[in-house]
Amino acid sequence: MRSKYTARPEGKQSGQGLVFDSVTKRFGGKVAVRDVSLKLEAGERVAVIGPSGAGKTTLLRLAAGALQPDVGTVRFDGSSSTGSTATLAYQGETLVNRRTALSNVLTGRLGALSWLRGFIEPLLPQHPEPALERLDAVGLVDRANVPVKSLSAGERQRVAFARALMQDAEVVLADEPTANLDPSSRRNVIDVLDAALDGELLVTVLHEVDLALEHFDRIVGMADGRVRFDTPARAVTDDQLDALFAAGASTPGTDAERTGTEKESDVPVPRYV
Amino acid sequence: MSRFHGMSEKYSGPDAAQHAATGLSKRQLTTLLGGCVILAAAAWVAEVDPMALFAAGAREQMGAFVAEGFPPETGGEYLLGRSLRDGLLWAIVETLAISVVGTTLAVALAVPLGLTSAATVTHRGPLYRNASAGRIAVGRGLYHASRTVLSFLRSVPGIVWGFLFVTAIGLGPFAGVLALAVHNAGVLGKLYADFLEDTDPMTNEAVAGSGATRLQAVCHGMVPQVTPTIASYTLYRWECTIRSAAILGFVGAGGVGYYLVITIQRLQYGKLSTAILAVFALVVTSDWLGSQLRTRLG
Repeated sequence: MRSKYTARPEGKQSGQGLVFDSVTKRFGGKVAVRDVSLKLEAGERVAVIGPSGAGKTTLLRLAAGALQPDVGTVRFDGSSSTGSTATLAYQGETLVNRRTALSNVLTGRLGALSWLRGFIEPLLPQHPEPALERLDAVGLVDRANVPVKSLSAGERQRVAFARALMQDAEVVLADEPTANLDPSSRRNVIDVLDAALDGELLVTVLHEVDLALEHFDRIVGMADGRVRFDTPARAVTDDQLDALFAAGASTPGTDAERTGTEKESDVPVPRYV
Repeated sequence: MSRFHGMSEKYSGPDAAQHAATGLSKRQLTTLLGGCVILAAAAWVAEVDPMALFAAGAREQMGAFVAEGFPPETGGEYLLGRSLRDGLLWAIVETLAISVVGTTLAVALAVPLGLTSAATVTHRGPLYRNASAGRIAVGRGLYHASRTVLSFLRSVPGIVWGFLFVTAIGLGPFAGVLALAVHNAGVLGKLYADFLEDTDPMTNEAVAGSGATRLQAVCHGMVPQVTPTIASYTLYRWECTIRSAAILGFVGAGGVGYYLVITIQRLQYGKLSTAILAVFALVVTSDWLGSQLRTRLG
């Protein structure tokens, strides 16, 4: 579906891989990610699973450059391309609700516009085509001019994908794309994401283990900021999964504290200090 | 989900059992007693004396007001005056005009000041994750400076600003416009800044992650999150400025306040009743209009 519009050459030969090298990230006193080393190859489809507060979202934000690691490095590995290196598809809740789907998708690539155009484009688009293409890729081009607040949760998630796809990145990161969705929309959202991509490295944080095993090549299990296992999807055992989710549940820290490590917006003091 | 679980545990602990047994906890009793002491002290400072209401002079005066205040004065000359810019009705129109222009000017001042007073715009949060220490220090300086300006504008009451502007530019409604603009810029600017600081950090991060400049991220990420709230509070504030504009005439800054103060001084209670009723009608009408507009916004 996407190839109809993308300028990218067909049958892309190479892309970017993503390497975490002994990465540690703390928020205040809490360690969100502890000494994580991972090497993700170009074109792989990776699902990161684990209990709440395991540091999964933090890992994605580190890869996207939204956060800087306290220790270690995050780097990309492979031939560079025209677009940006990595793009993080945030959750549908992070869209600007009052604006239209089109306007939200247009904010996905303000950096590529001139200084002045960057102010005007999301409100009075002169070149809406790229955004309409991305909306088409997620099957929502007919909803382009609907305010995001009138869309369903699944549709909002797809608009958030479209916004991230505006970056034309070689590495696509998706933060819990199935959160707050009903079971049928979850599958739909993952399918849409699948269809919209074209050989990029995809790293997704997922809560639903069955969806992860079904749709992804490689599963990274995280608990308490550490990588507990990293195996091909078909090799994941029930024992590994039980141990992973038990590890999260038995950690002495309070739930709120551990959620706080994963998402700063959940920390009791909401403002950045 | 998990957060709420943690909370409910906090409130169902041993403390809760104790409340149920004794009715009031020690802490609640202390709060109640403390409140009573503060109220008593405040009443003493404010020289509260209920008997003053029933003194012979007070009764006579209030009786006179009721007797002479009814019926309200409805003479054509009082209501319409001798020229266009004269008479009680014109003063009401002028009050309304002062509030509209004053609030508009206040918004024009409050928007830039609000932006520079919001920490999430100047130096904190997702927009400044990768900023240099120098840039953050500059932002923090700007933030503190403009917060101080807002506090100052807000802390001087509108009527005092009115007196100052009358002294500076002379009697008339324009002094009232400036007084309302300056005071309300302080009020609105702080509101705007607080709303901007309460925007969702992940939404701001998502927009900033598109490679947007900070100003673009503010315009397309932060501001659209708060515009409905800001519009609604600005309308509410406009209703407040009508009430303020009604007393600006006390210091010669235009509006119906002139009629209020002059009729009180001359003991013309019939005319005072009319003026009070006119202000009442103005306030009720503007409240109604404001709530209609806010419903439409919501």
